[in-house]
Amino acid sequence: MVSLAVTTALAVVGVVLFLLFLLALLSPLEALSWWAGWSGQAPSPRELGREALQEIAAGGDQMERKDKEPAFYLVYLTAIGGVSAEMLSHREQVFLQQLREALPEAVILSDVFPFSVTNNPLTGERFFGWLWRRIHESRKTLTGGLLASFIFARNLFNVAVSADPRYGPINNSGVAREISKSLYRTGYPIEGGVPVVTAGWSGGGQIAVGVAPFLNLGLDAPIYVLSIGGVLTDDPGIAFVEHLWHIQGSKDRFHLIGDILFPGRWAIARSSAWNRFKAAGKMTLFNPGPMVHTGKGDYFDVKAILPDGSSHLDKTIEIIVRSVRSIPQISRSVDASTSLSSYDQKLLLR
Amino acid sequence: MVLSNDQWMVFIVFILSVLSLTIGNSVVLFANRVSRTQFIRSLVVFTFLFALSLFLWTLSIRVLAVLFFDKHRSQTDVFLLVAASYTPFLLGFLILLPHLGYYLYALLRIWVTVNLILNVMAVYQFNIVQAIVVSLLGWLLMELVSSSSFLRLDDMKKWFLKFTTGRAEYKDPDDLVLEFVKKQRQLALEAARATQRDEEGGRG
Repeated sequence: MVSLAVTTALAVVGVVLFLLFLLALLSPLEALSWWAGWSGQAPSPRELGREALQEIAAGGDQMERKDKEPAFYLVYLTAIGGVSAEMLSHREQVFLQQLREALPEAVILSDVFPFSVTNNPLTGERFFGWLWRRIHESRKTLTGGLLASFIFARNLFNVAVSADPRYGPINNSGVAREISKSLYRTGYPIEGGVPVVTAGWSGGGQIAVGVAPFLNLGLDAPIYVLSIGGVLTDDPGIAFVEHLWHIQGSKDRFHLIGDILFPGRWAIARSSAWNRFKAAGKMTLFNPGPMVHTGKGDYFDVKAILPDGSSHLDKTIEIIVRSVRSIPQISRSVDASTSLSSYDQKLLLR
Repeated sequence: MVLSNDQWMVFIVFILSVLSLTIGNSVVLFANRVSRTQFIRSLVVFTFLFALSLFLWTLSIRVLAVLFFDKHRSQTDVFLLVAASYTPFLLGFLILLPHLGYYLYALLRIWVTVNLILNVMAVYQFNIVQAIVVSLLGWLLMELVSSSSFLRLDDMKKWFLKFTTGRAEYKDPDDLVLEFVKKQRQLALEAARATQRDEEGGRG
């Protein structure tokens, strides 16, 4: 009886490992087949301009349009637990809502799924879309919770694709293209110049760095990166980033993935893009306190309270606001404004 | 030349290894936007070219063994010893794995080199230094011959590329993507300016 149970357990582990191996092996194919035109029309350089003009002509998304020109655009990229940009977790939605209040001078976008070159959600129209939908729907059950590990694994492998110099340029240019479309949709000027901040949580942090060269060249914009517990690799795209702010809770150990697995991050690799970027003083590291990577006590937790009385979420937002407002173009624009945002008022009252 | 069953097996495993290695390195084909048919044709042609380069390596090992140590072995024996060394490349498709593939490729190449040296030792009854000299000098000689214009290998490669994919050269994925993004930017600006001109013309 015991041996049967052991055999069954081993068989299950074997099947799971094999499926994970298959997921890893096939993970570059989405980006490669998109680029080669195997999964439809190959992307053309003419498309983006045409689509951008259509978006601009249509007036874009009125929800995000401001009365005056925004000082900058912030694009939020979700973590590896995400299945779609439309289905963000409740705490991410609260975070974005509060961030919008805290940064009235910015346009904040969250409609790009960072783990797909075509902004196609896992639950969208794709070969295994039905399977991801089933897994996502059953997430709250015990079995579903276990199966959801496959979502984490799939997106984690996509982070590895983004960080791999062989696939990275293709993958990241696709995501950057989707970000560009979203920016144009919300009124980003086609002549460029307005700062763009890519903010990534967990695996979204690598994507935020990976897309930097293509956003910088494609939009002609200065790119800044905000990493919220980001898993940062040795992506050479960091050379195109003006400044990187990395928020890392003292109880968050996920950064070790990047620290250990990517030789360009090691201190001995002095000439790596990462180490040159650091040496140039373009990176600021924040320790917001005992925050964990995800779940209870993470960066977006409103219930967890720090010794200074602020919630984890408040602290995260405070750091983000302080960071982005240190961008020269933005600080000038905020100084010129006389009105205080509700977040500024809250800070003053504290 | 008649091959025994074992020799055929070595040859088949060798072909599969080279095919697997070519699949592992196929990212350049995707980056250059080859069609599915061209992809398969390229795999076959690259496998053939790889086998051809191996034939040259075999030849150089034989020549060096005779020149330095006066040891004679048949072309078939030496070809099979080199082919058998390539067996680890059966796992070559694993190079496709993101991030890990890089390190696996390095590991597989070391494994193949060690295999080759051991096989040369066994077939020629060499000590390790002799085997290293013959194998590595053979590889160096092959590199020299293939990079010189003597055999017009570049022309041949271009001809094969044109035959399989309709283009004379492959570009690096990095260059292709950057070119694409710059072009995209240029076209977007041109389109915006054209629209602006049209609007101004309409108002005028």
